[in-house]
Amino acid sequence: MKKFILKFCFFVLGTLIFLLILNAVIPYNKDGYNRAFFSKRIALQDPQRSSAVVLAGGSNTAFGFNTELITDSIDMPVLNNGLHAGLGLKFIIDNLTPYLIQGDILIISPEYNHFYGDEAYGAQPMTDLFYLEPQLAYSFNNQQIKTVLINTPAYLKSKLEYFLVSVLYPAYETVYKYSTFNEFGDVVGHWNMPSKEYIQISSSKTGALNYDFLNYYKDKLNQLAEKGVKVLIVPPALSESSYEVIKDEVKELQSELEKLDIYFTISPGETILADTLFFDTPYHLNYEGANIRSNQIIQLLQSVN
Amino acid sequence: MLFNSIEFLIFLPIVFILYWFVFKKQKWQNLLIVVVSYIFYGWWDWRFLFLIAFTTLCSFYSGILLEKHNNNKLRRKWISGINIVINLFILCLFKYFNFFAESFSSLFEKFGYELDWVFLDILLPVGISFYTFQALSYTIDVYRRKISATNDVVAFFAFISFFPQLVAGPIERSTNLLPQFYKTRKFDYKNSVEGIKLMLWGFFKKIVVADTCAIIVNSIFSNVEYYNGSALFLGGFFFAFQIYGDFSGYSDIAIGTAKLFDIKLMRNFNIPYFSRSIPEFWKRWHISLNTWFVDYLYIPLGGSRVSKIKVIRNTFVIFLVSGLWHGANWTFIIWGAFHAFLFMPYLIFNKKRKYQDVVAENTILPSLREFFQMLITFILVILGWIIFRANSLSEAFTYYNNMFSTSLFQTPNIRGMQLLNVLEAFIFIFALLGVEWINRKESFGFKRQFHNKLLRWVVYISIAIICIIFFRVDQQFIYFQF
Repeated sequence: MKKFILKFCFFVLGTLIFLLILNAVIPYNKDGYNRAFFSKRIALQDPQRSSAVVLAGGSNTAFGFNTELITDSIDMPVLNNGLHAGLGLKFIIDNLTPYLIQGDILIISPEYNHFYGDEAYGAQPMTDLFYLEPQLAYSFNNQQIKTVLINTPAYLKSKLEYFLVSVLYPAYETVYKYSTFNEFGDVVGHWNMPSKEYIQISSSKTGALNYDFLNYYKDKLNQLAEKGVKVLIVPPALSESSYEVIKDEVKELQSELEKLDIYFTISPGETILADTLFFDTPYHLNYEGANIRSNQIIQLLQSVN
Repeated sequence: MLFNSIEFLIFLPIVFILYWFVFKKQKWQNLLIVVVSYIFYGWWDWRFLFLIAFTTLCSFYSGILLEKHNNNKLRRKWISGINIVINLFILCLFKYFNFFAESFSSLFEKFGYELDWVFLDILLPVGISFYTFQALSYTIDVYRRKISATNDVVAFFAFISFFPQLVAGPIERSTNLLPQFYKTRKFDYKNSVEGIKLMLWGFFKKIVVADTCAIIVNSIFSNVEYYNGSALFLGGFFFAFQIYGDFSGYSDIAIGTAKLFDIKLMRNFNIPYFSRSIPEFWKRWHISLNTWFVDYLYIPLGGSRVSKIKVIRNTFVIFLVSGLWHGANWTFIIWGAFHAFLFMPYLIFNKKRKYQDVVAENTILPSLREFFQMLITFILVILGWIIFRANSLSEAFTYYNNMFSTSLFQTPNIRGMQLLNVLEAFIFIFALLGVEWINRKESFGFKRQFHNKLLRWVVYISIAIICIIFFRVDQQFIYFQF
């Protein structure tokens, strides 16, 4: 028995040591998409900055706008802070609120699944950022800590995959990289590329509505309002075909949100665009689509001002 | 509680320590097994515990009554009959009621009758088919006097609820498992090391092979219209390895875990994808269920000792019931019928027992003939898995329709990051098949070991690391739904 336990402990220890070595030896992708989180934050953190329009959300926001077009049309600077839905809406809000100032206009474009199950508490992208900056965990709740723990293997895997792809197939090109963002925070690497075939979504529900998070979300929105930040909640841009499939779910969600006094500034039906205006998923707009959505936001901003 | 969860990683060492260091006596160990098995099972939903306890008590007392009326044949028939009916009633209520209600309802609708059926809003208890069949085997074995009824209620509860095999098998026979709870168990180093190796191999199959295949399979099966024929064929191919890695991986983990407690469970899979014919495949796939059906259904129906027509009927019954056992959906029944049809030529021409040995027993590689036999059998099995995986018959037909088109001979339209998943899946499937081929004569796929100690450790640690890296959140085992 003693021999068995000792050998087993040796096995576990050996595995952990090799994992740590592996983590230390394999470099993190310096051109990784999620690294944009830190550069986007710099613009927000600037103590000298004037009031701005801040676009927040997942990749639907990162891919969804031509921010330069919006900036040129209104009298305020515009910062596209959108990155990845897998950060979770809680992480997105928590990492924005300390830096928003009086007079800012926050346009949140959450993805519908953010309100179901534990989606608001993030997934692997949040774990990636945690390992790049562990101090981010100060704002984590227990669920987010669990998310980090259980997604650590996926974080290691993504590092390994990046490493293997960079060694075995250095010519591999993707728009999902840090250098694809412009100075406004928009993903622009695909603007000159033709749209790809993509799969429509079949559902946005990944569990029951998360009322704990909804209450947290509501409190955060109230805090921002008290701080003098104008908050506009805008539904994500979504392809016509996908919306057709999840239309009833969206209506149900909208009515549940309204019961909690959380309202979309424009209705979900208005942000639906033709399938051809999307690049590689029903959430990621191509150049033409980003311009249409930006014009929609310009009109919205002009109407609220 | 899932095997591939952090909870289980904490649970197992605690149980192991309590079992060997605190509860050293056999009776106390049995009691511990019952308690921890109920914790393991209740982790899904504590309400399930009442059902399994009821099933256990029914079978336990029917055993006692059977023993009491040892000389009264009629009473014994009634007692075992009532217990079988109760168990099957529970199983049908939870698993099949809505299915039959819906089927009858739509049948009557076709004739213009609107039936106002009452559908039950009930949760399907995890693993109900597995433990119900195990409980049934006990009653039938006592009735057949293959085993004496037990008076030890704790041992019996341990037999029905033994946590490693409770939710997805192997479905144990009372003649094999129950007597092991009467004996004093002794820690055996060699046995335990083999248990850990089995678990490691099981985790590799589940986490690395099955879950990697699942990403591709889920995408393809939920977007049948998008993919071309060759991609759809790949979907079926990967599902074959998803279900094999998933289910045989679970069995390996279960058998390995049981070994840590000096309990021996039966083998459930024996390199099924190296089968040279459909009958051979069924001798090697889900062995515990198939032998259960043979012992408790096929043989009572007359087995092979009746006229050919009746043998064909019996075979069809077995396959259809086996299909239905997998789930309340016509897809499973048709899947069973599909295999019954494939089985028929072997039955008619008396070839079903042709391949009893291991393929290429005395050579390193199979002969060309064996290779093609394995390939054809595997392709037929894949075609069956497509019906099995589809959510409905119409979905399955659409799948076949789109697959058997001219695009079957085009390059699969799998793109982007999915290509990386495909590459990973191929590498791991190749590794799985390679290891299983080398170990095809052994009792499990990872039995042989390297003589060089350092190399052995490197291999074990590498597999553990690959399992950790490929671990994905919330990956259920397919067979839990059955």
